[in-house]
Amino acid sequence: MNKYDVIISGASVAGLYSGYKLAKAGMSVLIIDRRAEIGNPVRCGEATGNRREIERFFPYDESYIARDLTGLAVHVNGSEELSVEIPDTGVILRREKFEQYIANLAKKAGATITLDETVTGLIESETGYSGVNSSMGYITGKFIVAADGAESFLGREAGLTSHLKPRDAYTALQYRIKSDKFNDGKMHFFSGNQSIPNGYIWVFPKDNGEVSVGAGLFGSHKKGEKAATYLDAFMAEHYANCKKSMLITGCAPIAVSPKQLTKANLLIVGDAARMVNPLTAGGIMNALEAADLMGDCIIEAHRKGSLKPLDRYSKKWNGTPRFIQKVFFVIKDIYSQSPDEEIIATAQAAAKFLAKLDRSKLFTLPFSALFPMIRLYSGRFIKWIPWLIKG
Amino acid sequence: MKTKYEVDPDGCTGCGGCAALCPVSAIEVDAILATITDECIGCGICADFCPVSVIDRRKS
Ligand SMILES: Cc1cc2nc3c(=O)[nH]c(=O)nc-3n(C[C@H](O)[C@H](O)[C@H](O)COP(=O)(O)OP(=O)(O)OC[C@H]3O[C@@H](n4cnc5c(N)ncnc54)[C@H](O)[C@@H]3O)c2cc1C
Ligand code: SF4
Ligand code: SF4
Repeated sequence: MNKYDVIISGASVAGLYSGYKLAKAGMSVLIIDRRAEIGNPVRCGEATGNRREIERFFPYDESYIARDLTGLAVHVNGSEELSVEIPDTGVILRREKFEQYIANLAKKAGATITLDETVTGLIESETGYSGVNSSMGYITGKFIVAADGAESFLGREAGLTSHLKPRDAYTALQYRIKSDKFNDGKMHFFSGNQSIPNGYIWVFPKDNGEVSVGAGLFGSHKKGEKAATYLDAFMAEHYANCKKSMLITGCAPIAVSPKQLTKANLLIVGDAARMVNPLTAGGIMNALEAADLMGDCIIEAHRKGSLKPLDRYSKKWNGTPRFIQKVFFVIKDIYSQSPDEEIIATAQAAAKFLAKLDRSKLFTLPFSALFPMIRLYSGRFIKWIPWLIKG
Repeated sequence: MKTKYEVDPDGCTGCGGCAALCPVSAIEVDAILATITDECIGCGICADFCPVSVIDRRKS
């Protein structure tokens, strides 16, 4: 059979969850991915929201949770400026298990998942798109979902996205190593122009006594500047004798999503739609959130036999979620141009602010860091206000 | 003739970042390896991006 209600390109977080939701609503769903195995290779720091947040979409399962996060520490040029315990900060996933879990939900709901196959083209029809070309041949679909990640092949074919500009690309690499250092359940961030200008290094706890140590740069615009150079120096300083068990590299779009997320019967979601948090490069929760909104619209469009309900997807995403993305975009821009003293002052202000908060009520961590930062940077923040309120 | 770029298959992780940036879609990725086609215009953006520095000017 090569005829489906929905064809989804990309079997990762966004694609699998969309597929699960649509199949559960009774639609025939095909999910295609060029990877040979769900979840592998992993390209992620694996930090995400807490169990409550995950449960908004599907049950959490201990099989895919590596570790609970207990708080946050920020180090600037080697000295710890902020360290807070925050219950329910979030979890560290076993990302491959996480994706396999969602894939199983999708399969049980009736979706077909085809691996090791690539989507190679988009076929236009009078009313939109009739389907896709792929390494398996031509496949027809009533709806086409582009959940194909930062490359955003289908989104570009449809003209909804374009190539990432170097300044909108977060370039990152990460090692997995066994060590007790900074392995206390907190997310450790290392910042400052001496350690790593225009980016940060992270150490996240993992299971089995391991940590993930990574570095990312905002924009790869400076010729010859590589995250690897900073990460290697950091490794030499802190983890000189540790064996690296895994290397991952990747690209996260750190732009703001386009306002138009649909064209006729084609919809973009997740990294393909640039839905990542531009400061933290976190994209898992956003991908789930957007796939949920999108899924509701596709289900309604399918029931009514009209494409009109799809318009609501862009509208909903352009409300709060995209606005939050814009705020983080501004913070990232200010952060990446800040001298060290300001980064230290911000970390200290955030520490004071967090100490006063009722942390059990904190929903997600980044929000709490937001307010003191905005106050500190109000001078440089002002020029962004027109863009922020423009919508 | 314009300089073109190539990927050293030994170190490439197939992350696809280079392909997300290439302005003329000259990079094909399967899940584990990127390959640069003759469409390459030699801008060097991919080489600046590559986290493991495995993209360089073609030798031949
Ligand atoms: C180094 C790094 C660290 C990160 N750390 C975190 C973190 O700690 N927390 C967090 O929340 N987020 C993190 N992110 C971001 C997060 O990984 C992404 O936002 C998330 O994976 C987006 O999911 P997605 O489903 O939209 O796309 P992806 O996970 O990118 O999946 C896209 C899928 O589409 C497939 N595909 C692409 N093109 C085709 C094609 N033509 N045909 C068939 N299949 C295709 C790919 O094989 C892939 O499986 C990180 C990103 C990077 C690069
Ligand atoms: S950016 Fe580098 S590691 Fe990633 S796919 Fe391209 S060549 Fe390979
Ligand atoms: S050098 Fe420029 S044109 Fe050539 S593959 Fe790299 S990004 Fe594309």
